Amino acid sequence: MSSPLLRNIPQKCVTSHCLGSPPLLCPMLLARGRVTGRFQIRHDTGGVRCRGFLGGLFGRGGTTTKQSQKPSLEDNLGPDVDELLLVETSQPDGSKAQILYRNGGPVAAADLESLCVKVGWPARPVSKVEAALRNSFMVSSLVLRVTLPPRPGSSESTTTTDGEAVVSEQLIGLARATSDHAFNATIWDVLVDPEFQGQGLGKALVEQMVRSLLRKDISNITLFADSKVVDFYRQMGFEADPEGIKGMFWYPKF
Amino acid sequence: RPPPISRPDSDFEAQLGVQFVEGREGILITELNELFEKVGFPRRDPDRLRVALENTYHIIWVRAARQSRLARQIIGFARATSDGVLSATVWDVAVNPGWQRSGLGRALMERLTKKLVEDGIPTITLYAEPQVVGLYEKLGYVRDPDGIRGMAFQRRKKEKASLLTRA
Repeated sequence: MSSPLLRNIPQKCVTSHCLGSPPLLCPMLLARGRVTGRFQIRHDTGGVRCRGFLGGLFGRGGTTTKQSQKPSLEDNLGPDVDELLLVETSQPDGSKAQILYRNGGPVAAADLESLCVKVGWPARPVSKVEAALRNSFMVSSLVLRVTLPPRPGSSESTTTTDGEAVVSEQLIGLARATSDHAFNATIWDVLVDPEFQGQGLGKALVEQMVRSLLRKDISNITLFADSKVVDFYRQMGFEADPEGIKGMFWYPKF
Repeated sequence: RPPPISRPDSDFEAQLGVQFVEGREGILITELNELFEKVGFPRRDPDRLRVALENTYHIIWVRAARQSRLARQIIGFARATSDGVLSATVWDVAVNPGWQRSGLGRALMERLTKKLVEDGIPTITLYAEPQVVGLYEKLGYVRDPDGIRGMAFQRRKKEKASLLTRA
């Protein structure tokens, strides 16, 4: 393969699947000519055909490996990293907008509550949310980060590993899990800022959280899903009422 | 608001010679694993089971009240994980088959639920095998409220039976 773009793409990217639609967010298109070493797409979309650049080169499927059954998140746990770049857009002036998956790292309860209000959930006392975050086994977030290239002579207080100046970070998604640290985990509060929904970010968030939990050997990963999102989780490998086991709530208020 | 305790501790002590204990002190991991095996749960790696108990929000178990060679045996067990403020999930509710049908399962769940409710946790959940759904409904648990479904990530590489844990 003689494409200059292809030479720069780390091997991991070649075997992962394209995000599919909308094409605007295809990282390959966004990163045209500017692929960085840590640019990884973490998205096992199973049956989704890769329609992007890679799909054309490697045929339908966008992968060089033959798979006889639908791949599970189990098959590709990924590296043990706490931060993953999901989407990046660059402007000609060098500024960048990045959406990161971040595992651990501080999440301000007030930011989370603002997000909850944005998605229309009932408000909860910030002090309780603070405690819940603190007592969760895992807190995973989606962060929108805007950066500028370093200016000569300036001393920005916050920089990325590439030396770019961080202009802002905004919480745009979250998921947390409680666990006994050994066998079971339950995922709660999965949400994505409405302004950023419809782009596959919720899926990326949950998939990465599941991978993170699997890497910690938590074998029973559970959640309670609104009827409207049961299929969303099913597509990721969750099963409702496995073996007829029913989820139950004590005197729910809804 | 919390579930009423339908039979007091004294009843169980007088009629069955058993008492309820809170917390993990006094639990021998090997004995807990034996109880799990008797009720058909998977045996767990002892070190991981110890870690699980250390990171469990509340544990209630049943043992013989009098000192005897059966005194240390775990007759019943239930635990709940939680973030301490918003949600909790009950796991591993188990009663020794020889002691079942004497109200111990219900008693364990009443006491565990009561503790969680009194601690102010609004969302208390569990995953129930089909044959015990009715028991939990009698206690006040509702299945699939508002169409909400319990879901679990399906593992492929290991035996399902050895991984699925529930109340």
